[in-house]
This record gives sequence, structure tokens and C-alpha cells, in this order.
Amino acid sequence: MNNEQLERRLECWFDGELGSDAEAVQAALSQSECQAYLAWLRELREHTRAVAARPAINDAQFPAFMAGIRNKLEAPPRRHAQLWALASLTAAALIVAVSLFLMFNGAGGNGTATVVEAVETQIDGATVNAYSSDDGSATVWVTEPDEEDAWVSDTQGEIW
Amino acid sequence: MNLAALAIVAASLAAEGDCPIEKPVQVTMVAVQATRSGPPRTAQPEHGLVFGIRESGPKRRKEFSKDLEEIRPALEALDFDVFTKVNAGKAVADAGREVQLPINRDYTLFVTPLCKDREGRIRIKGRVEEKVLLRGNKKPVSRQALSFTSAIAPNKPLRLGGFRLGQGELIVVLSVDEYTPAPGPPPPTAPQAPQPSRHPAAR
Repeated sequence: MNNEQLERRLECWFDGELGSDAEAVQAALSQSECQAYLAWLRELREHTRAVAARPAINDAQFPAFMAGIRNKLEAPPRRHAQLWALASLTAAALIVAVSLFLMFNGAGGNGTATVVEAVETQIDGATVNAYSSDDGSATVWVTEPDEEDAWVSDTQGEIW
Repeated sequence: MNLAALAIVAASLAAEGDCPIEKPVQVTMVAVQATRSGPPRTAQPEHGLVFGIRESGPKRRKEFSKDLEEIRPALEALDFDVFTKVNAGKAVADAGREVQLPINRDYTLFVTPLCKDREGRIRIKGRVEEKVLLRGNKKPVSRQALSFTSAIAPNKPLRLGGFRLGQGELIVVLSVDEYTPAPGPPPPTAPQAPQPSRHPAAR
């Protein structure tokens, strides 16, 4: 008897299906290999018994089962989509409000100051400087050279 | 996608840009002769520095003619001791139109309103022309003593100075506002007739 045939006979004996051949198997049980194989069969049987019973739906329960599925399918959608729409609308309104504020806030603003953008002089040797003051006003100053190439006024400096 | 498009449109609306002037502009000019009774208290400020520098020496009392009280705050920071009114004038102009404000026989101020920016400042371009008699010439010629472009804020005047005038220097205080006609007859647009000055300071 080879090992495979012995294993088949051990399995039948383990399941109580050998009948008259049980005595022949009993003799083989003294072998260590057979003992090990039987231990494995016992472990297999124990694990198989530990599997939980599957719930079964009988015919009386089937209509309720389908109704539950239908309710889940027809359930109202989650409110996350509405939340995103509300957030987008709020952001758009905020952008518009900030833009309008920037557009109209400058008119008559109290914090603005007078600025000089460009200066120029045609007086030879003169320099022009522009200054800003703390009070928001500005000054443009022409510094003429000390000795100018002839400057004589026909009005003799008369002041009106 | 729609939100991004809306943001782009809103940013375009908020973008910087000059606005046209809807109302006429009133240009107000006060010309002052400023003189020193002593040496300058401070050296000429270097390019880019604020003009008003705290003086370390003893203070000299400043004198203002009576008709300069309104613009006295605009003159007090300047390094001069005596301020005498030379002339004053107002003119009303639309955007793009030049107005002429005579200062005296040698100097004339020209101002052209340009537009109004978002901060409420009125941008103008202007120039001060002077008549000068150059050596070798028999007749005085007109030259541009100063040309400038500025954005003038409400109640923040622009001072133009450094022009020779007698023993002192000419300072022009310039302010620009939107013209609001007062009820009644419109004010004259020509500058006031100059009053003879009592000060002997002259060229």
C-alpha cells in the first residue's frame, strides 16, 4: 500500500466510512506518519467547524430584503454637492465685493499724497529735484547755477 | 472653471487705470516771494531727500504777509524767513485744455488737467515759463524754467520753487480740485489784478 492509498484509507477511517477495513487501518496508525496525517485531519475539521453560519433569506423574507435595497438606491444624495455649490458662490461673491471695493474706494481717499511724476528744465546748468513731505504735499525745486550766462530782466525785478 | 472665469473678470475690473475727469477742474495758484534774513540754515538737500530738515541752530521767526494765512502751512517748512505774496489766481478748465495763470511780468504758469486717478488725485501737466534777456540779445526770450507732470491730491498742494525773483526766490503753491460752481454768478476765470508790493525787495 503506497502512501497515497494509505492517506485515502486514513481519511475514510477518520470519517467513519471504512467499515471492515478499520482493523487494517488501526495497524497502520502506529506509524508516526499516519499519526501526523491524522493530526492534520483533526485540525482541518476544527477550522471547518469555526466557519460562521451564513445568513440565509427565505422566501418570506425576500420582499423585505428587496424593499431595503430599493430604499437605499432611492435615498436622497448626500449634501456635499450643495456644500460645494455654496462655497463657490460665496467665493465668487467675495471676489466681486473685493473688486468693487478696490475700484471705488480710491475716490476721495484721505490717505493719498500728491506725487510728482516727471520734471524737466531748460535752464542750462540747473537741476530739478522733487520731494515729498510728511503731510502729503510735494515740492519741485529748481536750483539754478550761481553764474548764469546773462540774466537781466527788463522789469528790474518789479513785483506786481 | 466658472469660478476661475469670474475671478479673471473681477481682477480686470479692479485693475489700475486712470479715469476721465467728468467735471471741470479748478486750478488755484498763489505766487510768493520768499527771502532769507540770514544765511541758509540748512544746506541744499541732496537729490531724493525730504526738503524739511530739522535745524540745529537758533530759530528765526518767519514772517508772512496777511493774505498768505490760507497757504501758510504749505510754506512754513521751507527754509525762508519772509514770505510776500506776489500774485494769486484761479482758472477753470476741462480735461485736456490748458489754462494760463500769469505770475508777474517774467513768469507765467501753464496747467493742463489730464485725468483723475482712482485715488482721487487729479493728474496735470504744467510748466513755468520765464522771460529772460540773454547777453547779446536785445529782446527777452521765453524759456521753460520748469515743466512737470504731477498727480495732486485734494488739500495736498504742489509747491514749485527755486526761481529767481529779486533778492529772493519765487515759490508757486498750486492746488487742483474739481470745480463745483457756487450758486450765483460764476467767478472770474482770469487771475486777480496784481497789487503793488510794499516790499522794496526787487531785482
